[in-house]
Amino acid sequence: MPGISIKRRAVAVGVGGRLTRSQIGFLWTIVMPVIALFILIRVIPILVVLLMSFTNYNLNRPLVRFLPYQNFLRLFGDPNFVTAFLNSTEFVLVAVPLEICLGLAFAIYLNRRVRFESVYETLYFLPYIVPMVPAAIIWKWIYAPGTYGLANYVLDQMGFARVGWMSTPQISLLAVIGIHVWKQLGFFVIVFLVGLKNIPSDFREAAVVDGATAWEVTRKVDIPLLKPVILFGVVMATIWAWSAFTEVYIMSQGTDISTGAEIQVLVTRIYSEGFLYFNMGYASAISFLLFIVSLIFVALQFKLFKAETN
Amino acid sequence: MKKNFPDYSVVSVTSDKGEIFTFPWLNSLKAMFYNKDHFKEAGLTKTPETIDEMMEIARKLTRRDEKGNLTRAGLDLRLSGGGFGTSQKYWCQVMIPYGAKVLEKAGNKWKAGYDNEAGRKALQYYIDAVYKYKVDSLDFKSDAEAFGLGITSMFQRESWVVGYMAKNAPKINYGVFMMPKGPGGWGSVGNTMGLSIPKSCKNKKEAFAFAMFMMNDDMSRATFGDSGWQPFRKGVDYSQLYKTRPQLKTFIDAAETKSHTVYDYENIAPIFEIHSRMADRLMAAFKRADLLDNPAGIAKVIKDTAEETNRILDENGLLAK
Repeated sequence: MPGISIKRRAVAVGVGGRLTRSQIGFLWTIVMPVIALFILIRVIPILVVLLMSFTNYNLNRPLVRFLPYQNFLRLFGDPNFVTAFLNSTEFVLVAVPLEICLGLAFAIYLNRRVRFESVYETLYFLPYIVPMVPAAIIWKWIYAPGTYGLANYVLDQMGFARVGWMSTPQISLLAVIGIHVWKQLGFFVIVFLVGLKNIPSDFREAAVVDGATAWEVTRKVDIPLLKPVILFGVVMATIWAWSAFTEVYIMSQGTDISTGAEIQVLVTRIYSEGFLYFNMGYASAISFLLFIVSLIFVALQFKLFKAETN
Repeated sequence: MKKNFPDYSVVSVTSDKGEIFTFPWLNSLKAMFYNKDHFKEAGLTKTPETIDEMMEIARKLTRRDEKGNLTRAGLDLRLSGGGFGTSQKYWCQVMIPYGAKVLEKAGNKWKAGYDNEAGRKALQYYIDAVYKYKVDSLDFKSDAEAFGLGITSMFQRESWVVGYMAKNAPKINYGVFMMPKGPGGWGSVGNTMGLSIPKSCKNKKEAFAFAMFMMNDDMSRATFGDSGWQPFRKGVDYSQLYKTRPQLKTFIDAAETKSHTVYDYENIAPIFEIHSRMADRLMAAFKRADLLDNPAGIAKVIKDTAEETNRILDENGLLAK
């Protein structure tokens, strides 16, 4: 019956394909709690941190003064902050390429239908699901000084000189980055593997028909089609590297570790200033700077990927 | 309070306004642990009385392998670890004997008390230990674990190590002696661990009764014997305990010897920040081999560290001008 069908269409889609008021109202009703939660958990804290960063707020002192620029100016003269910033930058510049390149390499290898593929996938993913605290504690034992640490024990047995894993600042930071990469790698392997498996085989077959080698298929078919997934991976790896905390915190505590202060990163610095020294205003300034720097990095990555795609 | 607790412990839990804010329950007094077998092997028949003697003895006790790697630390200094603990051990090990203070009181304000000859000598002791006499190393296991493994001959810690050793390294033949004297004084650091009843407590009477129970003679003996943590309580008979844990007696003697001063942290808000930041700078200095035979370098480190201490005091309105 034509009248009824038109009426039904009007209810379903609205006149001219637009949503009706009641439909829009319904959608807002569903989405509003999520938006409200997002504002409460994400937006408001960022604004509060921004406000606090312009004060001398300290939990030990009841009176708060407005400081228009002093906290941010102090950052550049604070050697602890400068060290933490440089360490965090090194963390990102080393960890992200390693995670993406190794993740991609392992995913490409596993995508070629190797034997015991599922066993390899499990082995790669296991570190990712192990909580960071026990993982870091185990690595602390591996890196322990003298021959009480597994790493130096093996080196000693092989006739090599021992390494000051946690007594030489440059090595210590790389050792901690190694823990971070070891732990996160499985995530990227799985994400890239899923991405590769979702590429229609027609593209690969067409390339093979055109005479492409396996490496050319990977380079000219798989990787370009995987770009959105790679972008996702790079963004996540960057955010995680900038916000590294647990592994650095665990690895800088304890009497076997003598590079505690030298391997601090921005988040451990925020923790120290805010929760050990109660300098909330100053800690907020560091937090906000970290937020801006992370945002710039991610924005640059989006721009880079967009330019390459174009 | 004065009847049951040492005077210095009552002072440490009394605010500037004269209010007692907690019970001084446990004392984290520091003393030196030493491996008796190592001493016997080196032909040493007595423990050091001064810090200079301690360095000499440490040199005799240190061992290295054919590659020159340290295999036994003659004297385990706290060169690393959590900031606060490092500065605390440093204060106890070298600042007190040389007569340096972390904070010096002037009226009701404070200032850094170590930017002086005593403070510089304290740092020099550590630098000499690591780079001149090489009795310890940044690349070596440290603390109670190293002592329990038998790879450290002497180290400074609190009485809980006695409980630790009984559980984890019962075969190590060890003793305890009081912190050695120095040209500037004799003493140790004994931080107060308080037993408090907050104002918001709804069952104050029961909480108070529990606190009294925890601090009575029997519980004091149980706490001291089982965990090794030393109760502040005066007049408790530990003679039975000494039969199985003779090392604990040194801690009681240290607390009761009048000429041996026990220092505690100042009751000011930024004390944790002061010590933590001082520790960060000290730990950085311990890694600097260039500070060996470098009085100007040492003086700069001490000066910069003291300036930071004073800055923190100033920010909190506590700096003595």
